[in-house]
Amino acid sequence: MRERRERGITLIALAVTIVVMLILAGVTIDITLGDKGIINKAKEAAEKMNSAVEQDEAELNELLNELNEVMNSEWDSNIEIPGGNNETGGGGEDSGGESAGDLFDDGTIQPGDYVAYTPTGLESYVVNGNNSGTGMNQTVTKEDLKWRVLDKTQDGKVRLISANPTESTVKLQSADGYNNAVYLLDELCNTLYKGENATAKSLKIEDIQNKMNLSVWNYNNAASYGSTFNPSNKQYPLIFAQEMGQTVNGRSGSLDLSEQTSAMTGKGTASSWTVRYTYWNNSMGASNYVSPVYHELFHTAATGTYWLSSRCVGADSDGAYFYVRRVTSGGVNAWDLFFSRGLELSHTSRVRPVVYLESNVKIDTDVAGANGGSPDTAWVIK
Amino acid sequence: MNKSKIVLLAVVVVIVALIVVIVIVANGGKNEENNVQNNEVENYSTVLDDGTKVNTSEKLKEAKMYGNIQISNMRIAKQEEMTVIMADIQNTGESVLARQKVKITMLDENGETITEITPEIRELQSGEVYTFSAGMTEDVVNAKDYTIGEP
Repeated sequence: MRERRERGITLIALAVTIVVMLILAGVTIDITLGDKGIINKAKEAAEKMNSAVEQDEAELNELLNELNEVMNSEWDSNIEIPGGNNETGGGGEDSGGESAGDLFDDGTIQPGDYVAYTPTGLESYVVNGNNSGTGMNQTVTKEDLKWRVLDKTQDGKVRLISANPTESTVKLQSADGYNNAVYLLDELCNTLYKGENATAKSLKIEDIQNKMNLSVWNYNNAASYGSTFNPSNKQYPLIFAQEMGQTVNGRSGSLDLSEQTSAMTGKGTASSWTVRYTYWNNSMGASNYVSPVYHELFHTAATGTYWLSSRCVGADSDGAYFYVRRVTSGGVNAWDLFFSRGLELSHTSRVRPVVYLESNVKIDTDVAGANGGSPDTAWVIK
Repeated sequence: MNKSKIVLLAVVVVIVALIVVIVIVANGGKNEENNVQNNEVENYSTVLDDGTKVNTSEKLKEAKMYGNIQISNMRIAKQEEMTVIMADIQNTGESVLARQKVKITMLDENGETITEITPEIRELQSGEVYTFSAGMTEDVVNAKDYTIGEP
Protein backbone atom coordinates (compact mmCIF):
# COMPACT_ATOMS: atom_id res chain seq x y z
CA MET A 1 0.00 0.00 0.00
CA ARG A 2 1.28 3.22 -1.03
CA GLU A 3 2.00 5.61 1.84
CA ARG A 4 0.21 8.89 1.60
CA ARG A 5 2.53 11.83 2.14
CA GLU A 6 0.96 14.87 3.77
CA ARG A 7 2.35 18.34 3.49
CA GLY A 8 1.57 21.26 5.88
CA ILE A 9 2.89 23.44 8.62
CA THR A 10 3.46 22.51 12.14
CA LEU A 11 1.52 23.91 15.06
CA ILE A 12 4.54 25.90 16.19
CA ALA A 13 4.87 27.63 12.82
CA LEU A 14 1.19 28.46 12.87
CA ALA A 15 1.51 29.86 16.38
CA VAL A 16 4.53 31.95 15.41
CA THR A 17 2.70 33.31 12.36
CA ILE A 18 -0.32 34.23 14.45
CA VAL A 19 1.91 35.96 17.00
CA VAL A 20 3.62 37.92 14.22
CA MET A 21 0.31 38.94 12.76
CA LEU A 22 -0.95 39.99 16.19
CA ILE A 23 2.16 42.07 16.75
CA LEU A 24 1.79 43.73 13.36
CA ALA A 25 -1.90 44.31 13.96
CA GLY A 26 -1.16 45.86 17.33
CA VAL A 27 1.49 48.14 15.91
CA THR A 28 -0.78 49.11 13.04
CA ILE A 29 -3.71 49.86 15.33
CA ASP A 30 -1.46 51.91 17.62
CA ILE A 31 -0.03 53.89 14.69
CA THR A 32 -3.48 54.50 13.30
CA LEU A 33 -5.75 54.95 16.28
CA GLY A 34 -3.43 55.62 19.22
CA ASP A 35 -3.09 58.94 21.03
CA LYS A 36 -0.18 59.79 18.77
CA GLY A 37 -1.64 57.91 15.84
CA ILE A 38 -2.01 59.04 12.28
CA ILE A 39 -5.68 59.96 12.60
CA ASN A 40 -5.17 62.08 15.70
CA LYS A 41 -2.12 63.71 14.15
CA ALA A 42 -4.11 64.47 11.03
CA LYS A 43 -6.88 66.04 13.13
CA GLU A 44 -4.35 68.08 15.08
CA ALA A 45 -2.65 69.15 11.88
CA ALA A 46 -5.95 70.18 10.36
CA GLU A 47 -6.85 72.18 13.46
CA LYS A 48 -3.45 73.83 13.52
CA MET A 49 -3.69 74.59 9.82
CA ASN A 50 -7.14 76.12 10.19
CA SER A 51 -5.99 78.12 13.17
CA ALA A 52 -2.89 79.32 11.34
CA VAL A 53 -4.90 80.23 8.25
CA GLU A 54 -7.38 82.18 10.36
CA GLN A 55 -4.56 83.94 12.17
CA ASP A 56 -2.76 84.71 8.90
CA GLU A 57 -5.94 86.00 7.32
CA ALA A 58 -6.63 88.20 10.32
CA GLU A 59 -3.08 89.56 10.30
CA LEU A 60 -3.09 90.08 6.55
CA ASN A 61 -6.45 91.82 6.65
CA GLU A 62 -5.20 94.02 9.45
CA LEU A 63 -2.09 94.83 7.44
CA LEU A 64 -4.10 95.46 4.30
CA ASN A 65 -6.40 97.84 6.16
CA GLU A 66 -3.41 99.63 7.59
CA LEU A 67 -1.80 99.75 4.18
CA ASN A 68 -4.92 101.14 2.56
CA GLU A 69 -5.16 103.72 5.29
CA VAL A 70 -1.57 104.77 4.81
CA MET A 71 -1.58 104.52 1.04
CA ASN A 72 -4.91 106.32 0.96
CA SER A 73 -5.90 104.17 -1.98
CA GLU A 74 -9.46 103.86 -0.81
CA TRP A 75 -11.62 106.29 1.03
CA ASP A 76 -15.27 106.88 1.71
CA SER A 77 -16.54 109.04 -1.12
CA ASN A 78 -19.04 110.58 1.28
CA ILE A 79 -16.26 112.14 3.29
CA GLU A 80 -15.63 115.57 1.94
CA ILE A 81 -12.93 116.57 4.34
CA PRO A 82 -9.41 116.33 2.99
CA GLY A 83 -6.15 116.48 4.80
CA GLY A 84 -7.28 114.96 8.07
CA ASN A 85 -6.97 118.27 9.91
CA ASN A 86 -10.64 118.41 10.82
CA GLU A 87 -13.23 116.23 12.48
CA THR A 88 -15.23 114.21 9.99
CA GLY A 89 -18.36 114.26 12.11
CA GLY A 90 -19.30 110.78 11.02
CA GLY A 91 -18.36 111.17 7.42
CA GLY A 92 -21.66 111.62 5.64
CA GLU A 93 -23.38 114.73 6.95
CA ASP A 94 -22.86 117.97 5.07
CA SER A 95 -22.28 120.49 7.82
CA GLY A 96 -21.90 123.54 5.60
CA GLY A 97 -19.07 125.19 3.72
CA GLU A 98 -18.67 125.90 0.04
CA SER A 99 -16.64 124.07 -2.54
CA ALA A 100 -13.15 125.41 -2.95
CA GLY A 101 -13.74 125.69 -6.70
CA ASP A 102 -16.84 127.88 -6.29
CA LEU A 103 -15.04 130.08 -3.79
CA PHE A 104 -12.16 130.44 -6.22
CA ASP A 105 -14.55 131.35 -9.04
CA ASP A 106 -16.29 134.08 -7.03
CA GLY A 107 -12.98 135.51 -5.82
CA THR A 108 -13.41 134.63 -2.14
CA ILE A 109 -10.20 132.64 -2.22
CA GLN A 110 -7.46 133.88 -4.52
CA PRO A 111 -4.04 132.86 -5.78
CA GLY A 112 -1.54 133.30 -2.96
CA ASP A 113 -4.06 132.75 -0.14
CA TYR A 114 -2.92 130.39 2.59
CA VAL A 115 -4.90 127.18 3.14
CA ALA A 116 -4.55 124.88 6.16
CA TYR A 117 -3.89 121.60 4.38
CA THR A 118 -2.45 118.56 6.14
CA PRO A 119 -1.08 115.81 3.88
CA THR A 120 -1.77 112.21 4.83
CA GLY A 121 0.91 110.58 2.69
CA LEU A 122 3.72 108.38 3.90
CA GLU A 123 6.45 109.72 6.11
CA SER A 124 9.33 108.98 3.77
CA TYR A 125 9.99 108.29 0.11
CA VAL A 126 13.04 106.43 -1.13
CA VAL A 127 14.31 107.78 -4.45
CA ASN A 128 15.64 104.71 -6.25
CA GLY A 129 19.35 105.09 -6.93
CA ASN A 130 19.21 103.26 -10.26
CA ASN A 131 16.37 105.42 -11.52
CA SER A 132 17.93 108.71 -10.42
CA GLY A 133 21.23 107.74 -12.02
CA THR A 134 23.15 108.33 -8.79
CA GLY A 135 23.45 104.65 -7.87
CA MET A 136 22.47 105.38 -4.27
CA ASN A 137 19.02 105.51 -2.72
CA GLN A 138 17.99 108.90 -1.33
CA THR A 139 15.44 108.87 1.51
CA VAL A 140 13.34 112.05 1.52
CA THR A 141 11.26 112.82 4.60
CA LYS A 142 7.90 114.62 4.60
CA GLU A 143 8.14 118.18 5.90
CA ASP A 144 5.70 120.45 7.68
CA LEU A 145 4.99 122.75 4.75
CA LYS A 146 2.56 125.66 4.50
CA TRP A 147 0.26 125.80 1.47
CA ARG A 148 -1.00 128.59 -0.78
CA VAL A 149 -3.58 128.69 -3.54
CA LEU A 150 -2.03 128.41 -7.00
CA ASP A 151 -4.98 128.22 -9.40
CA LYS A 152 -7.96 126.14 -10.47
CA THR A 153 -7.71 123.53 -13.20
CA GLN A 154 -10.16 123.18 -16.06
CA ASP A 155 -11.64 120.11 -14.41
CA GLY A 156 -12.47 122.04 -11.26
CA LYS A 157 -9.58 121.16 -8.98
CA VAL A 158 -8.16 123.96 -6.87
CA ARG A 159 -4.41 123.57 -6.68
CA LEU A 160 -2.22 124.45 -3.73
CA ILE A 161 1.51 125.08 -3.95
CA SER A 162 3.85 124.69 -1.00
CA ALA A 163 4.70 128.13 0.37
CA ASN A 164 8.39 127.24 0.03
CA PRO A 165 10.37 124.50 -1.64
CA THR A 166 11.29 121.55 0.54
CA GLU A 167 14.43 121.63 2.67
CA SER A 168 15.17 118.12 1.41
CA THR A 169 16.97 117.84 -1.87
CA VAL A 170 17.04 115.29 -4.66
CA LYS A 171 20.11 114.51 -6.73
CA LEU A 172 19.68 113.56 -10.39
CA GLN A 173 22.51 112.30 -12.53
CA SER A 174 23.30 111.39 -16.12
CA ALA A 175 20.99 109.84 -18.70
CA ASP A 176 18.88 108.02 -16.12
CA GLY A 177 18.41 111.21 -14.13
CA TYR A 178 16.96 112.70 -17.32
CA ASN A 179 14.99 109.52 -18.03
CA ASN A 180 13.23 109.49 -14.69
CA ALA A 181 13.15 113.05 -13.37
CA VAL A 182 9.45 113.53 -14.10
CA TYR A 183 8.43 110.16 -12.68
CA LEU A 184 10.55 110.42 -9.54
CA LEU A 185 9.66 114.00 -8.65
CA ASP A 186 5.93 113.47 -9.22
CA GLU A 187 5.88 110.21 -7.30
CA LEU A 188 7.87 111.71 -4.43
CA CYS A 189 5.39 114.58 -4.13
CA ASN A 190 2.36 112.31 -4.30
CA THR A 191 3.73 109.76 -1.84
CA LEU A 192 4.47 112.38 0.80
CA TYR A 193 1.96 115.17 0.23
CA LYS A 194 -1.29 113.66 -1.03
CA GLY A 195 -4.39 113.86 1.17
CA GLU A 196 -7.68 112.04 1.56
CA ASN A 197 -9.27 113.96 -1.29
CA ALA A 198 -6.16 115.28 -2.90
CA THR A 199 -3.27 114.11 -5.03
CA ALA A 200 0.09 115.79 -5.47
CA LYS A 201 2.72 116.32 -8.17
CA SER A 202 5.78 118.44 -8.61
CA LEU A 203 5.46 121.91 -10.13
CA LYS A 204 6.00 121.78 -13.91
CA ILE A 205 7.24 124.14 -16.59
CA GLU A 206 3.72 124.43 -18.02
CA ASP A 207 2.51 125.77 -14.66
CA ILE A 208 4.96 128.63 -15.05
CA GLN A 209 4.47 129.19 -18.76
CA ASN A 210 0.69 129.38 -18.28
CA LYS A 211 1.12 132.21 -15.77
CA MET A 212 3.56 134.23 -17.87
CA ASN A 213 2.70 137.59 -19.38
CA LEU A 214 3.83 136.77 -22.91
CA SER A 215 3.47 140.34 -24.05
CA VAL A 216 6.49 141.20 -21.87
CA TRP A 217 8.61 138.23 -22.87
CA ASN A 218 7.55 135.21 -24.88
CA TYR A 219 9.51 131.97 -24.52
CA ASN A 220 8.31 130.96 -28.00
CA ASN A 221 10.58 133.69 -29.34
CA ALA A 222 13.61 132.61 -27.32
CA ALA A 223 16.78 131.88 -29.30
CA SER A 224 16.54 128.54 -31.15
CA TYR A 225 13.34 127.58 -29.27
CA GLY A 226 11.35 125.23 -31.52
CA SER A 227 14.18 124.95 -34.09
CA THR A 228 15.39 121.54 -35.24
CA PHE A 229 18.95 120.23 -35.46
CA ASN A 230 20.73 117.10 -36.67
CA PRO A 231 23.64 116.79 -34.23
CA SER A 232 26.55 114.58 -35.25
CA ASN A 233 26.92 112.98 -31.80
CA LYS A 234 23.87 110.79 -31.32
CA GLN A 235 23.72 109.25 -27.83
CA TYR A 236 20.43 109.88 -26.06
CA PRO A 237 18.53 108.89 -22.88
CA LEU A 238 15.88 106.37 -23.92
CA ILE A 239 12.90 108.49 -22.93
CA PHE A 240 13.98 111.15 -25.43
CA ALA A 241 12.85 108.89 -28.29
CA GLN A 242 9.33 108.97 -26.81
CA GLU A 243 9.09 112.75 -26.57
CA MET A 244 6.64 114.65 -28.69
CA GLY A 245 8.29 116.48 -31.58
CA GLN A 246 11.51 114.46 -31.44
CA THR A 247 12.45 111.99 -34.17
CA VAL A 248 14.85 109.10 -33.58
CA ASN A 249 15.60 106.53 -36.29
CA GLY A 250 12.62 107.77 -38.26
CA ARG A 251 10.10 107.48 -35.43
CA SER A 252 8.42 110.30 -33.56
CA GLY A 253 7.24 110.21 -29.95
CA SER A 254 4.11 111.45 -28.22
CA LEU A 255 5.18 112.12 -24.64
CA ASP A 256 4.84 115.64 -23.23
CA LEU A 257 7.92 117.17 -21.65
CA SER A 258 6.31 116.89 -18.20
CA GLU A 259 4.78 113.46 -18.66
CA GLN A 260 6.02 110.03 -17.52
CA THR A 261 4.02 107.18 -16.02
CA SER A 262 6.71 104.60 -15.26
CA ALA A 263 10.43 104.48 -14.67
CA MET A 264 12.91 103.52 -17.40
CA THR A 265 16.66 103.33 -17.57
CA GLY A 266 19.27 103.26 -20.29
CA LYS A 267 20.53 105.20 -23.27
CA GLY A 268 20.78 104.52 -26.96
CA THR A 269 22.65 105.72 -30.01
CA ALA A 270 20.60 106.95 -32.94
CA SER A 271 21.50 106.12 -36.51
CA SER A 272 19.56 109.20 -37.55
CA TRP A 273 17.68 111.84 -35.58
CA THR A 274 16.17 115.26 -35.57
CA VAL A 275 16.31 117.17 -32.29
CA ARG A 276 13.78 119.89 -31.59
CA TYR A 277 15.03 122.63 -29.29
CA THR A 278 12.76 122.83 -26.22
CA TYR A 279 15.02 124.72 -23.81
CA TRP A 280 14.57 128.36 -22.88
CA ASN A 281 15.79 130.43 -19.96
CA ASN A 282 15.00 133.89 -18.72
CA SER A 283 15.36 136.17 -15.74
CA MET A 284 11.91 136.65 -14.32
CA GLY A 285 10.49 139.75 -12.66
CA ALA A 286 6.99 140.52 -11.46
CA SER A 287 6.09 141.93 -14.86
CA ASN A 288 6.83 138.60 -16.51
CA TYR A 289 3.70 137.16 -14.94
CA VAL A 290 0.04 137.93 -15.39
CA SER A 291 -0.03 138.76 -11.67
CA PRO A 292 2.80 139.69 -9.29
CA VAL A 293 1.58 136.99 -6.93
CA TYR A 294 2.98 134.32 -9.26
CA HIS A 295 6.40 135.92 -9.18
CA GLU A 296 6.15 135.82 -5.39
CA LEU A 297 5.01 132.19 -5.38
CA PHE A 298 7.56 130.91 -7.89
CA HIS A 299 10.61 133.03 -7.12
CA THR A 300 10.50 135.26 -4.03
CA ALA A 301 9.51 132.34 -1.82
CA ALA A 302 12.14 130.10 -3.35
CA THR A 303 15.11 129.73 -1.06
CA GLY A 304 17.64 127.94 -3.21
CA THR A 305 16.78 126.31 -6.49
CA TYR A 306 14.08 123.71 -6.97
CA TRP A 307 13.38 121.14 -9.66
CA LEU A 308 10.41 121.22 -11.99
CA SER A 309 9.26 117.80 -13.17
CA SER A 310 9.89 118.71 -16.79
CA ARG A 311 12.55 117.77 -19.29
CA CYS A 312 13.94 119.92 -22.11
CA VAL A 313 16.59 119.65 -24.79
CA GLY A 314 19.10 122.01 -26.32
CA ALA A 315 21.08 121.23 -29.48
CA ASP A 316 23.56 122.41 -32.08
CA SER A 317 25.29 120.74 -34.99
CA ASP A 318 27.70 118.96 -32.65
CA GLY A 319 25.45 117.52 -29.99
CA ALA A 320 22.22 117.49 -28.01
CA TYR A 321 22.01 118.57 -24.36
CA PHE A 322 19.50 116.90 -22.08
CA TYR A 323 18.24 119.07 -19.21
CA VAL A 324 15.78 118.94 -16.33
CA ARG A 325 14.00 122.20 -15.56
CA ARG A 326 14.72 124.23 -12.44
CA VAL A 327 13.63 127.54 -10.90
CA THR A 328 15.80 130.00 -9.03
CA SER A 329 14.88 133.09 -7.06
CA GLY A 330 15.70 135.12 -10.14
CA GLY A 331 14.54 133.11 -13.10
CA VAL A 332 13.75 129.91 -14.94
CA ASN A 333 16.36 127.71 -16.60
CA ALA A 334 17.46 124.06 -16.52
CA TRP A 335 20.28 121.82 -15.41
CA ASP A 336 22.21 119.64 -17.86
CA LEU A 337 22.49 115.96 -16.99
CA PHE A 338 23.63 114.33 -20.23
CA PHE A 339 25.34 115.36 -23.49
CA SER A 340 24.99 113.30 -26.64
CA ARG A 341 28.78 112.96 -26.76
CA GLY A 342 28.44 110.80 -23.64
CA LEU A 343 29.30 113.35 -20.94
CA GLU A 344 27.34 112.80 -17.74
CA LEU A 345 26.67 115.33 -14.98
CA SER A 346 24.82 115.46 -11.66
CA HIS A 347 22.90 118.22 -9.91
CA THR A 348 21.03 118.54 -6.63
CA SER A 349 18.00 120.68 -5.91
CA ARG A 350 14.89 121.05 -3.75
CA VAL A 351 11.37 119.97 -4.63
CA ARG A 352 8.18 122.04 -5.06
CA PRO A 353 5.02 120.00 -4.48
CA VAL A 354 1.62 121.04 -5.84
CA VAL A 355 -1.58 119.56 -4.38
CA TYR A 356 -4.70 118.95 -6.49
CA LEU A 357 -7.85 119.22 -4.32
CA GLU A 358 -10.79 117.20 -5.60
CA SER A 359 -13.77 119.27 -6.67
CA ASN A 360 -15.83 118.12 -3.65
CA VAL A 361 -13.42 119.64 -1.14
CA LYS A 362 -15.08 122.41 0.85
CA ILE A 363 -13.76 125.45 2.66
CA ASP A 364 -15.31 126.54 5.95
CA THR A 365 -15.90 130.25 5.46
CA ASP A 366 -17.35 130.65 8.96
CA VAL A 367 -14.09 130.18 10.85
CA ALA A 368 -13.40 133.36 12.79
CA GLY A 369 -10.42 135.27 11.46
CA ALA A 370 -9.80 132.97 8.49
CA ASN A 371 -9.11 135.04 5.39
CA GLY A 372 -6.12 133.31 3.79
CA GLY A 373 -3.86 136.31 4.33
CA SER A 374 -1.20 134.51 6.37
CA PRO A 375 -0.39 131.06 7.73
CA ASP A 376 -2.12 132.06 10.98
CA THR A 377 -5.32 133.09 9.20
CA ALA A 378 -5.31 130.32 6.62
CA TRP A 379 -8.55 129.11 5.08
CA VAL A 380 -9.78 125.99 6.83
CA ILE A 381 -10.76 122.93 4.83
CA LYS A 382 -13.94 121.33 6.13
CA MET B 1 11.69 21.76 5.41
CA ASN B 2 12.09 20.76 9.04
CA LYS B 3 10.54 22.48 12.03
CA SER B 4 13.60 24.36 13.10
CA LYS B 5 13.91 26.00 9.68
CA ILE B 6 10.29 27.10 9.76
CA VAL B 7 10.67 28.63 13.20
CA LEU B 8 13.84 30.38 12.09
CA LEU B 9 12.05 31.73 9.03
CA ALA B 10 9.18 32.99 11.17
CA VAL B 11 11.56 34.78 13.52
CA VAL B 12 13.31 36.42 10.58
CA VAL B 13 9.98 37.56 9.18
CA VAL B 14 9.00 39.07 12.52
CA ILE B 15 12.30 40.91 12.84
CA VAL B 16 12.13 42.24 9.28
CA ALA B 17 8.52 43.37 9.80
CA LEU B 18 9.40 45.21 13.01
CA ILE B 19 12.38 46.91 11.37
CA VAL B 20 10.24 48.01 8.44
CA VAL B 21 7.60 49.46 10.78
CA ILE B 22 10.21 51.30 12.85
CA VAL B 23 11.91 52.73 9.74
CA ILE B 24 8.61 53.93 8.26
CA VAL B 25 7.54 55.63 11.51
CA ALA B 26 10.93 57.29 11.95
CA ASN B 27 11.07 58.52 8.35
CA GLY B 28 7.55 59.95 8.58
CA GLY B 29 8.60 62.21 11.47
CA LYS B 30 11.72 63.39 9.68
CA ASN B 31 9.77 64.27 6.54
CA GLU B 32 7.40 66.38 8.60
CA GLU B 33 10.32 68.35 10.07
CA ASN B 34 11.80 68.87 6.61
CA ASN B 35 8.52 70.20 5.28
CA VAL B 36 8.34 72.79 8.05
CA GLN B 37 11.93 73.89 7.41
CA ASN B 38 11.33 74.20 3.67
CA ASN B 39 8.32 76.42 4.24
CA GLU B 40 10.35 78.71 6.47
CA VAL B 41 13.14 79.02 3.96
CA GLU B 42 11.18 79.48 0.80
CA ASN B 43 8.20 81.64 1.66
CA TYR B 44 8.57 85.26 2.74
CA SER B 45 5.58 86.76 0.98
CA THR B 46 2.06 85.95 -0.07
CA VAL B 47 -0.32 87.50 -2.59
CA LEU B 48 -3.74 88.68 -1.43
CA ASP B 49 -6.93 88.57 -3.50
CA ASP B 50 -6.54 92.18 -4.63
CA GLY B 51 -3.00 91.53 -5.86
CA THR B 52 -1.24 93.11 -2.90
CA LYS B 53 1.93 91.22 -2.07
CA VAL B 54 2.60 91.00 1.68
CA ASN B 55 5.78 89.95 3.46
CA THR B 56 5.38 87.06 5.91
CA SER B 57 8.87 86.75 7.42
CA GLU B 58 8.70 86.41 11.19
CA LYS B 59 12.19 87.91 11.41
CA LEU B 60 10.76 91.28 10.43
CA LYS B 61 8.38 91.21 13.40
CA GLU B 62 11.19 90.86 15.93
CA ALA B 63 12.26 93.88 17.95
CA LYS B 64 15.70 95.32 17.20
CA MET B 65 17.56 98.02 19.10
CA TYR B 66 19.66 100.93 17.87
CA GLY B 67 20.75 102.92 20.91
CA ASN B 68 17.50 103.65 22.70
CA ILE B 69 15.44 103.27 19.53
CA GLN B 70 13.48 100.05 19.32
CA ILE B 71 12.15 99.05 15.90
CA SER B 72 9.62 96.25 15.87
CA ASN B 73 6.74 94.71 13.95
CA MET B 74 8.08 95.70 10.53
CA ARG B 75 5.52 95.13 7.76
CA ILE B 76 6.15 95.27 4.03
CA ALA B 77 3.51 95.30 1.31
CA LYS B 78 3.67 95.95 -2.42
CA GLN B 79 0.79 97.42 -4.40
CA GLU B 80 1.45 97.83 -8.11
CA GLU B 81 4.78 99.66 -8.41
CA MET B 82 4.92 100.94 -4.84
CA THR B 83 6.41 99.03 -1.94
CA VAL B 84 5.54 100.33 1.53
CA ILE B 85 7.55 99.59 4.66
CA MET B 86 5.98 100.24 8.05
CA ALA B 87 7.40 99.66 11.52
CA ASP B 88 6.68 100.56 15.12
CA ILE B 89 9.39 102.79 16.54
CA GLN B 90 9.77 103.44 20.26
CA ASN B 91 12.08 105.51 22.41
CA THR B 92 12.97 103.05 25.18
CA GLY B 93 15.24 105.52 26.97
CA GLU B 94 14.37 107.95 29.73
CA SER B 95 15.22 111.12 27.85
CA VAL B 96 14.00 112.78 24.66
CA LEU B 97 15.57 111.49 21.46
CA ALA B 98 16.39 114.15 18.90
CA ARG B 99 15.58 113.71 15.21
CA GLN B 100 18.12 111.43 13.66
CA LYS B 101 18.74 109.36 10.60
CA VAL B 102 19.26 105.62 10.78
CA LYS B 103 20.36 103.18 8.13
CA ILE B 104 18.06 100.22 7.61
CA THR B 105 19.52 97.42 5.50
CA MET B 106 17.04 94.95 4.06
CA LEU B 107 18.40 91.41 3.72
CA ASP B 108 17.37 88.46 1.57
CA GLU B 109 17.23 84.80 2.62
CA ASN B 110 21.00 84.47 2.20
CA GLY B 111 21.74 87.51 4.34
CA GLU B 112 22.70 89.54 1.26
CA THR B 113 21.75 93.22 1.07
CA ILE B 114 18.68 93.93 -1.06
CA THR B 115 18.72 97.66 -0.45
CA GLU B 116 19.55 100.33 2.11
CA ILE B 117 17.35 103.21 3.18
CA THR B 118 18.16 106.06 5.55
CA PRO B 119 14.90 107.36 7.01
CA GLU B 120 14.82 110.21 9.48
CA ILE B 121 13.31 109.23 12.83
CA ARG B 122 11.39 112.13 14.30
CA GLU B 123 11.94 113.51 17.82
CA LEU B 124 10.60 111.02 20.34
CA GLN B 125 9.62 111.53 23.97
CA SER B 126 10.58 108.84 26.48
CA GLY B 127 8.43 105.79 25.85
CA GLU B 128 6.74 107.33 22.81
CA VAL B 129 5.78 104.96 20.00
CA TYR B 130 4.84 105.87 16.44
CA THR B 131 4.41 104.04 13.19
CA PHE B 132 7.08 104.81 10.65
CA SER B 133 6.20 104.48 6.94
CA ALA B 134 8.27 104.74 3.78
CA GLY B 135 7.39 104.24 0.11
CA MET B 136 9.76 103.03 -2.58
CA THR B 137 9.70 101.58 -6.08
CA GLU B 138 12.33 98.97 -5.29
CA ASP B 139 10.77 95.57 -4.57
CA VAL B 140 11.80 94.47 -1.08
CA VAL B 141 8.66 92.51 -0.23
CA ASN B 142 10.61 89.23 -0.15
CA ALA B 143 13.05 90.46 2.49
CA LYS B 144 13.77 87.95 5.24
CA ASP B 145 15.46 90.18 7.80
CA TYR B 146 16.98 93.63 8.32
CA THR B 147 19.66 95.38 10.31
CA ILE B 148 19.82 98.88 11.78
CA GLY B 149 22.94 100.95 11.92
CA GLU B 150 24.52 104.37 11.66
CA PRO B 151 23.96 106.04 8.28
